[in-house]
Amino acid sequence: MMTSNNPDYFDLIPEYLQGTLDPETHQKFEQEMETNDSLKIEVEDFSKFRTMYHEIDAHTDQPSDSMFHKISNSIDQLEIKEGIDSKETSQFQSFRLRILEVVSELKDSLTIPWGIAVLQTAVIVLLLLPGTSQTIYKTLGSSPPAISTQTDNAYNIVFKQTTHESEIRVLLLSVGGTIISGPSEEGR
Amino acid sequence: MIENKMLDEEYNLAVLTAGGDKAAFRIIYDKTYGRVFRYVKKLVRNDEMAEDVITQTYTAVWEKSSSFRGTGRLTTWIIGIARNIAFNEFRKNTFHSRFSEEHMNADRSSQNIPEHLDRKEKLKQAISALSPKHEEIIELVFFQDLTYPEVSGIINIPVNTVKTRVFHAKQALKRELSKRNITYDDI
Repeated sequence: MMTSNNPDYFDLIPEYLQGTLDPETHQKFEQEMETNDSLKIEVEDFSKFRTMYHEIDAHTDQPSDSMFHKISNSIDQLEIKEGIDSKETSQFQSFRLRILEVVSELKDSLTIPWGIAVLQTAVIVLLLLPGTSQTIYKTLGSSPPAISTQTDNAYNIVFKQTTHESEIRVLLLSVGGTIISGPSEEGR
Repeated sequence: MIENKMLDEEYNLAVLTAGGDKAAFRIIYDKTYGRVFRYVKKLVRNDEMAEDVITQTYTAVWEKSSSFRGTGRLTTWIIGIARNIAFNEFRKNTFHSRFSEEHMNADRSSQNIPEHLDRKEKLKQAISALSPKHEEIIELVFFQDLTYPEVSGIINIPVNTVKTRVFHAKQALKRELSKRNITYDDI
């Protein structure tokens, strides 16, 4: 039974003899051989057998065109078979994909109109909601005169339906304004 | 510690092949055919079966090239595929398996050993007299230059078992050589 003082280096014997160890490991291996007789003997033994085996029979065939042709035919046959097998699968899958596409298109096509519809509903709801009186008076009371005689700016002011004419007149007078036109001279 | 540049080149070839590049596949075939075919011929010892296994092997290489990770050599990977295919054929009983119990128990030592054979022929005969397992391990380690972990991966046995099998294969070969009057020192 093979014994080993250092299994790691014994594992590397094939690579050492093939010259495929990296430089650092190669150096360590050679250092190990200087002090490890078992490793040295095993390397010599391995090398002897390797050389002998190569001497006995090192022949390998050259790549054969006829063999490659056979392999290509085999691949073509395989691909034809896979094509037949996958055709049924792909028909089902394309039908399934089409269904998904239609659903997706439907969703996309409905998204914008639905979005607009929701927005419009929200605006209507907001408009129908009773506002706070503070909001109305705040607009006039907290800012400088909204109408300038020097410009043609026009402002639409929406009053609550329950607002009385007298209240409007009081408000207008407080900002130096009057009713100049409207549903009636009284502002109704 | 296989040269990284070579591994990268082989990996790139596999990637191209996976993408349907027949030219890259041909390069893989040309680079690996010699060693792979030699291994298969020794494994199955039947020319017809060897060609069949090779055809199936490279067809599988074409199909599975996307699964090649590039961490080891292409030849090693392909030999592994070839071995699996060969053993599948053995299981189908299409061809006689050299690895069957019957062959393994055959008394190889009673082979007639002609005296007139030259040294080289005697060496060849000594190797042929080994059990299939020993002959395979010697081919993989001493000719295909596979490392113990690579052999372990192909044959699907632990690395320590590979080392043990190599040891016993060498001992068996020494015995066969001595029967043919070739001493270890004469090697």
